[in-house]
Amino acid sequence: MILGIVLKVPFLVTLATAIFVIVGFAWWWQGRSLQGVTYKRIFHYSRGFPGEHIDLQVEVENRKILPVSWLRIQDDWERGVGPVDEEILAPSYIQDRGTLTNIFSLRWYEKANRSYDLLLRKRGIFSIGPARLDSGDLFGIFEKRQELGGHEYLTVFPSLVPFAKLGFSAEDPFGDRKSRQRIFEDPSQPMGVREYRPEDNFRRIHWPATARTGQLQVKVYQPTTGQVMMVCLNVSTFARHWEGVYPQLLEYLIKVAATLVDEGIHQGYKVGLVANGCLAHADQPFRIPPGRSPQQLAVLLQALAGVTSVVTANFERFLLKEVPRVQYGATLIVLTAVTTPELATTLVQLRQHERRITLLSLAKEPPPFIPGIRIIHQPFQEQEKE
Amino acid sequence: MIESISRKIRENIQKVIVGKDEVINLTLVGVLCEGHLLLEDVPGIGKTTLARALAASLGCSFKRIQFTPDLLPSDVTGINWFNQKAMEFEFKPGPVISQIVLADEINRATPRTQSALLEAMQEKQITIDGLTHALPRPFLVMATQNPVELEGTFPLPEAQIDRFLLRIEVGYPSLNEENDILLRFHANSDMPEIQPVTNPSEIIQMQNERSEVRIEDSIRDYIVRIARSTRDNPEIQLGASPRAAIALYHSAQAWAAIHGRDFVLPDDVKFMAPHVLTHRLMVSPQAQLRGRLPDQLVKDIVESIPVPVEN
Repeated sequence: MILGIVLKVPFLVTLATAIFVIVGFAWWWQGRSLQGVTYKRIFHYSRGFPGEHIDLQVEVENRKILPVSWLRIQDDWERGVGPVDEEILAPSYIQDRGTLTNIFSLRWYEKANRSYDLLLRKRGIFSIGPARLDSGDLFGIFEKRQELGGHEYLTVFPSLVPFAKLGFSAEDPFGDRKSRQRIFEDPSQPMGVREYRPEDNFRRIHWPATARTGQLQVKVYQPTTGQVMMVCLNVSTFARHWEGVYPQLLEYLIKVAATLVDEGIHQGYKVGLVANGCLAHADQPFRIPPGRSPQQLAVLLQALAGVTSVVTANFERFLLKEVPRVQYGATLIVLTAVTTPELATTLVQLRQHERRITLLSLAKEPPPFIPGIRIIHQPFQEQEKE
Repeated sequence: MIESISRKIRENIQKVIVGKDEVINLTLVGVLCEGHLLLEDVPGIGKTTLARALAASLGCSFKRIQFTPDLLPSDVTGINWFNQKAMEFEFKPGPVISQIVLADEINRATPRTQSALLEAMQEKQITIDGLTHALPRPFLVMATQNPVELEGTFPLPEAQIDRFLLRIEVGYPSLNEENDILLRFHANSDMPEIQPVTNPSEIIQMQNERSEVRIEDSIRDYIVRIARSTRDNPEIQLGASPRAAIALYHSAQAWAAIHGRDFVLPDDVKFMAPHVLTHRLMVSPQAQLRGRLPDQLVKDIVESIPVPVEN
């Protein structure tokens, strides 16, 4: 422009002014291009089993008067829960991850949606996001970048194996249920009142209720023994940890554990789970106490979905530490692919804690006879491999 | 009239509850419809304070029942006791014979005791030893339950859940609101005393006015279609009852009236639908396992039904 003024060439002055205005306008535009832009992923389901499909809608909205001339959204995605057409995900420098890329152009206050069909390919807890939004000015001179959407998680449960295949007796798969009567009651947890019967202790009489009704009433307490089942999972696939991991066997162990908890819940047990493995991004063994919430099955399967091959503790020592916390009369299912003499000794010790114990071994060699312990031997076979 | 009195009540309640305009408006919907409210949220966010403040603002009699596992139905309804001096039976009313009843932690009582509220909630009367006693008007049950704890609780039966007009989640205060709470109650946590800003006869008059709020045929049809589609959805095991459709109709009228309108918009129906329907739906186990929640289902249903528009 200065040159144009000095040389007195109006064309140069006009050209320079136009460039100056355009660049200024472009700079102003790009500064505001991502203001008021929202990006959402809407999953129909957040959990599922391998092989199932989940509908995904990505929704982007421009909540301002200034249009967005171009908008590129690159969403970091796990291939394990990617779209059915794998080529939709652009390659990423991280293994097993890709990028879901969408390009939009939005007018003022416009909302746009795109749908995808996701396929759940393998067990795991998969993180999605964050999304990177790139936009710029009308002329493509400047660019602006922003991260949105945060992390979201999709859970793929382990698939279930047919329960009949596990070798439990069809009639009473998890052992004797001698009595449904309340043998032990917790006096700190009253659950109601009923009429007095001659065999009732006087200490149980609820005097205010008796006065109100004119008839002797006694307190009823919650039972301390219920139908409780605890699945104890050993994630080791070899006797010595330096031998490594047998991935197919580990997957099968997790599938069997999932089948046991599913069957236990359907049989009316309060099911819990302990494992000497750890969840992704954690370094401690996990313990899910037995519960009767409607969400309990989902909680258990979600934990199994996240189990990694990292062994955090020796299984025998782990059992000795964890099992005494389980309530009296509970059924313990010890699930392992490694049976050692130490395990047999540990189970005998645990038997003294008045728990019914079933050992389900997936090891090749049959486990030794352990007095008082029900043993089921179902060696892992080639056809069970993925 | 409804709008101005609602504003007065809201401002009065906000002397003890910071913010929460929407929650207070929803409780007013319950008052205008004479429908019962289920306050469901974690402890310590002001559910009981809200109920007390509402009762005080309305100038109504208020009783609180702390539900426990050994609570008896007669502890709720009252009993006939023998007066030895007079040599006759006398009726001793229970706490339910009050205009506003706070049933605190309702799911801690046995289903038998919970059911003692059924007749009171639906018929606005109680029957003891074959004698029926009418309850004072307006009658409103505000029940609270903690969704986190499950051990030692008895989930409400479907028949009773259906009798609650709305389920309200109070929710945590926002950052600014929490700062205001600390600022307001920095010296002590005693609540200031609340004076009534209306009276029961005025409330009954407001309830009558609410019933005159106009609903176009197309919006009525919209409500019916929402209710019916909850029954046809494969992800829902138990859909909304006709009582739920009536509840949605009335609460949309009340919401419109609180906002100073004498006619209902489709937006009123859309806003009220999650509050009216969510607690009444039973999600199928398969959908529940896959992480579907009732509020998502209601949202999807409401969005899938075309909104009535003018020709």
